[in-house]
Amino acid sequence: MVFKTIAAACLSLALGAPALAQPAYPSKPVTIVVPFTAGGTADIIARLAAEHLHKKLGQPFVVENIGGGGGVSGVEKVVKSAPDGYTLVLASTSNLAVHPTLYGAKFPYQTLRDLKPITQVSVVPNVLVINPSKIPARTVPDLITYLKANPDKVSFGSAGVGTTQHLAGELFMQRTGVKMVHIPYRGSSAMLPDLLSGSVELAFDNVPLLLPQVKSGKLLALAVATPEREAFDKDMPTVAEFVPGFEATAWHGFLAPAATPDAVVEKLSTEIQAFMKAPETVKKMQELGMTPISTTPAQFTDLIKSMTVQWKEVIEKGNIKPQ
Amino acid sequence: MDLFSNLALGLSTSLSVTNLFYCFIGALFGTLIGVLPGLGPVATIAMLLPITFGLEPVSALIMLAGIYYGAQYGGSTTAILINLPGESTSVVTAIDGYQMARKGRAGTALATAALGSFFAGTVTTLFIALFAPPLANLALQFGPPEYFALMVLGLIASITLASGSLLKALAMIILGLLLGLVGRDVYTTEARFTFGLENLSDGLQFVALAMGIYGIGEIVRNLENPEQRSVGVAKVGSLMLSREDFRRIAAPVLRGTGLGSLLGILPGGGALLSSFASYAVEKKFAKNPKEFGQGAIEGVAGPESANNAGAQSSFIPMLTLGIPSNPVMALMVGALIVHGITPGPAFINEKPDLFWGLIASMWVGNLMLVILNLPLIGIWVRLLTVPYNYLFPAIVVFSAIGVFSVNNAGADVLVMAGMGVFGYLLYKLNCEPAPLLLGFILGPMLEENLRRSMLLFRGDATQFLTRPLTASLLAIAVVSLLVVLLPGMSRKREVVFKE
Repeated sequence: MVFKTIAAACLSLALGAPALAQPAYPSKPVTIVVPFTAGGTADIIARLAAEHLHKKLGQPFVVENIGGGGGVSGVEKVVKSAPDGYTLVLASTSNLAVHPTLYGAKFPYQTLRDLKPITQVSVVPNVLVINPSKIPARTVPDLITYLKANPDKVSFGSAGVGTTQHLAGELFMQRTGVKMVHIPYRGSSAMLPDLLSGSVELAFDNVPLLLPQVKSGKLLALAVATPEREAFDKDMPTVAEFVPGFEATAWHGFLAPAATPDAVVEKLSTEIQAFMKAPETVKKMQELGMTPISTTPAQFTDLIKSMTVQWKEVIEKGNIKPQ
Repeated sequence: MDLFSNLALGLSTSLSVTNLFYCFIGALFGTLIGVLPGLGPVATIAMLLPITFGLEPVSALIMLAGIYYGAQYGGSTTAILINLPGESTSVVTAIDGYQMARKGRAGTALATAALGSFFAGTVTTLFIALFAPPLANLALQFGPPEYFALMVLGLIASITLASGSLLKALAMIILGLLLGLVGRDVYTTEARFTFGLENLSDGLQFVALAMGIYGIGEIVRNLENPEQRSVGVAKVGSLMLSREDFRRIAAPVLRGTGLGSLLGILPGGGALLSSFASYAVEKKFAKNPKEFGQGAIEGVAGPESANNAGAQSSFIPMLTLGIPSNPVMALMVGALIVHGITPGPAFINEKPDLFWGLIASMWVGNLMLVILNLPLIGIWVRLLTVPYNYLFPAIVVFSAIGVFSVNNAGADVLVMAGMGVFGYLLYKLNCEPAPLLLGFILGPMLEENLRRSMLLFRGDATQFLTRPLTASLLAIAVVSLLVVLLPGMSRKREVVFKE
């Protein structure tokens, strides 16, 4: 009996001691996986945030770019890593709310089963643009009328199947009942020359890419695909003003493996949210064509849930799924 | 007049002490990473990008540009010395450059590459200064159907890359096309030939493929016959070009420069295509085509000028239209956006100092590269005197690091290893790998643009013939094919290609 008690005490000491001795998180460098090659918007956010977290939490935050498979390889690596808060991922809409549906059962992860959201950090607005020399419409209602009168005549370009640029076009067709032909490219910059020359006549794409072309008059921006008007041009209407409930934006956010302790997630969330609200961050993000956002883990979870539902519907209705 | 005041503005920007310094750093870094096999400009620029956030935009851009063309240059160094094309553009250089090195003319080959690149860089700088805005519109003339036609022409021209039998060259091209199909299909996202491996869903990585087939394959075969290991102490040879050499490279350098500066404007592989195109052209023009593949100096001079000219003129669509024509340009656009500058049609007027400063710095950078590299040639060549049993493990290690660094993916290193075995096999079967690599690069672009065109034409293939530019390119392709296939010509070909 006594022996047992001692044994139990020893055991609890043995188990408890490391826990007691465990220094506060983080006690060693943290890796932030960016599932894209360096230099993109996600990468820049990650590097800016890493610098801030290093200063605030006293440990280096190292950005690791794992490109490949449209981001799948990078996210998969985080899903499979230890849930101790030392491996995080900065992922985008496609990674979190589209790919698991698009690529079906054999896909290596399910977002909310395998990952724990920390905070959303940005919204990258998509803008509806047309080549004005090819399409006579100058407003969204005009465009819808034109497209209805000319079914399947207009081609819309996108950065690839399953990108928000593509799904925005599909959503637009499904909500308005118009018909266009989708032409996918390998990334937006491959699509841009064909949009400028009029081979494809319409696209939904990111503000930073399109704004200079719109300013020069080569392209015409009709509306922005966010729920509210955006800071870069308050005069530009939203698509939702004409097509109620229309929302097709790209966003980024931080996540950790699903079993990461809540305390760690909360701590990171608070720090990153504070960073996203800092005036310098807001300014930098706006220069990059993004809207800085900070949400709690619960709010970010809801966003992923609702967007997964929305895009699942679009993918199924539009018969986009492979096989 | 305008040109001179613009260039003066550019020179005054690029010759400031700070910018000269960043130009030098860029060129030096570029050369060094170019020499390290596999570590290409994309990975380096990506790593250095955060550093540029704190610089003046013009300094940042000048440094990144320096890395870019420095790497183009450095890549040829390894291609010539150890048959390791670290950059896609130096694949062609490896064909004859390495043969020259085996014959003890490594120094000459390196000097040819340096001088050819410098000449091309100088001419292209002027070319950009004079014609950038009108040329930008040329890029817009090329829609998907035109690209498709250009790729068809490129593939047919690639047959001439082989110095062995025609049948084997065709087989290699087709194998290359098939390897290019690996990965997710752009139009359906269906995974093809990936065997369920997520690592292959983006396709095989070019750097891994090229370094495996050339570099690692070469090591295997050198280790097989140590006595045949060609590039050795006694054979370093003269470092400079003879008068005869200068005479021989003059025309190829001119033609390469012309081809490169025009093809470079086309987004998506224009610069790369130009080095292959230049090689094909030189082989056609050569008095003694038999020498190609055996160490013809023209086969180094032409493509090296072409790839440098192409690398530089690929700035045109980026600066004038805001269209990045390759991943390096995309990173530079990223760097500019961080500074609140988005390149686009209004760029030249809004930021003349930046535009002209960059153009002038290209020339300054090229000059620096020559000054930096001519003395270095002696050192590089001496590298070959390092005993092979020390040299080859180093090459393997650096190659593995380089390939890994592109995507931080271990699988790419395995691909390189596998391709090394495959490259050795090709050598044993007497198959030339160059057409395979060209097929690998052109195949996906060919397929993508064909299918995109058919979508845009809504399935009506006759529209290929009603677009003047497409029709002309396809006509040239058909004529070239007939020339190859006609009986009389093909007998002559046999003479030309069979040893």
